[in-house]
Amino acid sequence: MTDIIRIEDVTWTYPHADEPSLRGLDLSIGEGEVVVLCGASGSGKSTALRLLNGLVPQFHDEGVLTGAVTVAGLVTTAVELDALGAVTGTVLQHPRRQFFTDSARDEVAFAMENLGFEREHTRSRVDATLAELSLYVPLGQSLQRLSGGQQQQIAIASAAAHEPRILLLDEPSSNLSVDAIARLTATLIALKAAGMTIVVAEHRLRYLQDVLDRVVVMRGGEIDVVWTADEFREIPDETLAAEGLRGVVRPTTLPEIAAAGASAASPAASVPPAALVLDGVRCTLGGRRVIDLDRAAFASGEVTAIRGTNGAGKSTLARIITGLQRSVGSVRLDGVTLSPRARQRSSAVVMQDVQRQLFTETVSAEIALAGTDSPVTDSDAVLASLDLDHLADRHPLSMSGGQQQRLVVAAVRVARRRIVVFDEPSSGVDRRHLQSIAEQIRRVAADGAVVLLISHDEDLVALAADRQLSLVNPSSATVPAAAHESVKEST
Amino acid sequence: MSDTAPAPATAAPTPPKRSLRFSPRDIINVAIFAVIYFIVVFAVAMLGVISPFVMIVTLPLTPIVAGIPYMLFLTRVRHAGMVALMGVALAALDLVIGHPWQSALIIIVLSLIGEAIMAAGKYRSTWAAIWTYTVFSAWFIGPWVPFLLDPAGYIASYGLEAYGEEYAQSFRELVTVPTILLMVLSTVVCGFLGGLLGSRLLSKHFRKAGLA
Amino acid sequence: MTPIDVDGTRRASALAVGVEAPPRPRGLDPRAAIVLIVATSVVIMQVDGVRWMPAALVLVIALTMWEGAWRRLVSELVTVAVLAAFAFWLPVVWQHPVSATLGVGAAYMLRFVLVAAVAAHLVATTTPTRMSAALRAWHVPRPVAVMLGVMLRFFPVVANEARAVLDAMRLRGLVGARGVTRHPLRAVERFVVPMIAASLRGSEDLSAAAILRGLGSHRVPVPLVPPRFGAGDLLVLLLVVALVTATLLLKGL
Repeated sequence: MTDIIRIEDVTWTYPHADEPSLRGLDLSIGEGEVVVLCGASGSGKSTALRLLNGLVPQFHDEGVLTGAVTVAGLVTTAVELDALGAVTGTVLQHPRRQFFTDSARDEVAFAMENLGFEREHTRSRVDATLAELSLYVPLGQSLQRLSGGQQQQIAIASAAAHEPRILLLDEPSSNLSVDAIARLTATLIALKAAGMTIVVAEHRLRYLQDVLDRVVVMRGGEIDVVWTADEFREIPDETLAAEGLRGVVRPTTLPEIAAAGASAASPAASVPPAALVLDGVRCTLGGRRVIDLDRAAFASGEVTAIRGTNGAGKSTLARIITGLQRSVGSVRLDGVTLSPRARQRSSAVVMQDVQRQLFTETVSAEIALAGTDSPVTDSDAVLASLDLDHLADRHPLSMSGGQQQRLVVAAVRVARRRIVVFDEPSSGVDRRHLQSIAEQIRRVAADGAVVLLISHDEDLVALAADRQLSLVNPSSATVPAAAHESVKEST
Repeated sequence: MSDTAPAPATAAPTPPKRSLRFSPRDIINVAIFAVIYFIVVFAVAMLGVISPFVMIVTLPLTPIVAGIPYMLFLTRVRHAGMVALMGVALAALDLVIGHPWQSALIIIVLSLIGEAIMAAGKYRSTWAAIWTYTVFSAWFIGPWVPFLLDPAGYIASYGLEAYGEEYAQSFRELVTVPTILLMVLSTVVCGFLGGLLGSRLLSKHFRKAGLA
Repeated sequence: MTPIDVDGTRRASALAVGVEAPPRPRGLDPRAAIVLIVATSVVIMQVDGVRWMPAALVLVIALTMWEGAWRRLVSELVTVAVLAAFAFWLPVVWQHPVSATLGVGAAYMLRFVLVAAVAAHLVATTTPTRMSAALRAWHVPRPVAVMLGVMLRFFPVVANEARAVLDAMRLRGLVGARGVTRHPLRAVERFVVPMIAASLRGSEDLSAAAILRGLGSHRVPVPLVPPRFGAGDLLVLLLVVALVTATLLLKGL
């Protein structure tokens, strides 16, 4: 086996960082090998992956790199990114954010068009790829409307269509349902059989057990331990957990809250009142019925997970409840019907990208702003409990993603809103912090709020939620595949 | 590996910093900032919809606020041609939203002047950036250009003259060369303030966040 | 400033793509559309641009119907009707400085709206790839051709971030006439700073993935569907010739 990837004594420091993210990394990967880079986040596994397509160092001006990286005979610092892109295919963590086009055909053709492949060759590759994809993905759909698993399939197909020798995947399982993960495994097995060299950065491992050749565990930017496929099979999940890794992903099912209507996956016969009650809530966007709930009731002091595939209306429901989206019907909080505006003033949302909701120049100013119309003054205690008190003078935008998220949670708790929505809080956040995120969600509920959790993360739902509301697309005829998937998930 | 791929890319030299060769990242950077600039201008204009009274505040506010993304963009300009390219991008957007073609032309001309100012500051001077934006903000006069070129003709073309001679007369008195100069002057002053605000926010926010 | 539903129209065009058949792009070739936008702007912005308005309106209706964008057609017709009423009807029935001022303003706005409506056709029917390919076929320099295509893709990204920041501000009670008039700069800073930060973050993956796949590189791209002047373009061209002739003849009368 000849080495197709060689990393020699690489140390890398991101711009503006105090510490190197990779230290003296040495790794060789043979042609056709499947290697999993794993470790808790901050261990450097995603950074190591970015070394291989040249994004490190070429996408980060003023970072400091020493050592050498050779990929398919190319020295990554000496060639342009498109040359590296021609020999590698990359699937980033959120396929949705890397799609450049809005149709499967355009997306699959994209690399070949831009790399200047002959038209006839491109056409035959696109046709072949689409023929395979059509088994699992409705090709006529807008890409943004597909389920996470379908988007993942398209992203992999688009990365592999130009027949690169190496495929790089960054946490491909992070937003997938259990079904979709099985599909991902099958796809990777097929690619390996075709001779592709595959490098995956992951924290969940068992689904890769039958395809991987080597597991490289990283810690603090260095290689901690290396397991062969056989060794890995012998290692129990408990040992993985001790390394900050996860083994098998199991589907989580919680008791359903009482809800009735076309949007409810398992409608209840009667819906008893609770702190937050929705009555006859219907919403149509762009000519499609998105939410159709005759009645639903959410308890305060509890965490309700909102579940369902893309297009099932999870975010729309959250937007209606928080008063950001107009709809038919009434929303009652503690027995009082509230206007959308009043709901806005009673609600808080911890968004998926928390940068959207950081408005001031210091942590303490952010907390003060959140507390303007709340009588409570225990902000110091809240900051301390979220391990933010030593950062009071820092600029929120200069903090890590995890710290930013904790700051927004702190702001939410200081503001004492009655309705709190967490939108995909575990995406892009340290895995070891899953437990602490779950704890924060629990604490907000313990303060007495009605807490809604939108998440695809089975582990987080298991840790943080008490009940669930499974949604289906009420006009499912227009999105057959997505509806099909969610029906399967809810059974 | 496909053998129909074009000439295999071997070592390509990294382009020298101060050449006209745009790297893909330069191009994408300009595109993203052009879109951000445009949406900021658009959003502030929409704020005016809240109430007519707010509109009075937001109207001069637009060139001031638009200075924030523009000044941030200028910190990312690494070589000649990027300011001009930004001008082309914004001129295209200007045309697409229905502003007169003269306005698009003005944007490109002002960007070329800005390019010269930035070059004089070796693309590193804060004051060069502020003056570049000040000059650039004169484009806000753009939508009015065809009207200002011939206000009397414009009014006449609506046939208002026939029944509103008195009104047309007062309009002619109102829209004069000094008025036009006053409008240009006020947008440029607002642009200067926008440049100052932008550079202040650079140190207050973006530099700390590692974005500038 | 004229509002255009970029997001909505793009969504509509994306849905129009068939499952099996290779997408036969609906709408004008981007180059033809660009020529039409500039030409419309030139004739409409003249002092006697008013007499070109009927021709521009017919063109807009034809293009929007071709696209099948019925919602947009309705909103375009309503906007034009309202502005035209203010511009040409109100000053006749109510002679007053107020109606005259409104009339001049509306007539001026009408010009923008008509040009923007022609441009909306381009924005709604073209894709970033198609746009760049068409411009390259015109030998537009690489940076400009790539950039204009990329901008089409970034629009929904940045608009989405801007909307999300506004939502977040609403929930915090930071949006309101009082706040804006009292501390306009502070209100604006609280919108613009997070919006820029989030947009830059939100576009990072997109840029990285696109550059790795050769976008903007020095290679010459080969589009799967080459830009071509089609039958539809010819029909629109004939329509334009007819409209121009009619407008010129009417002046002679």
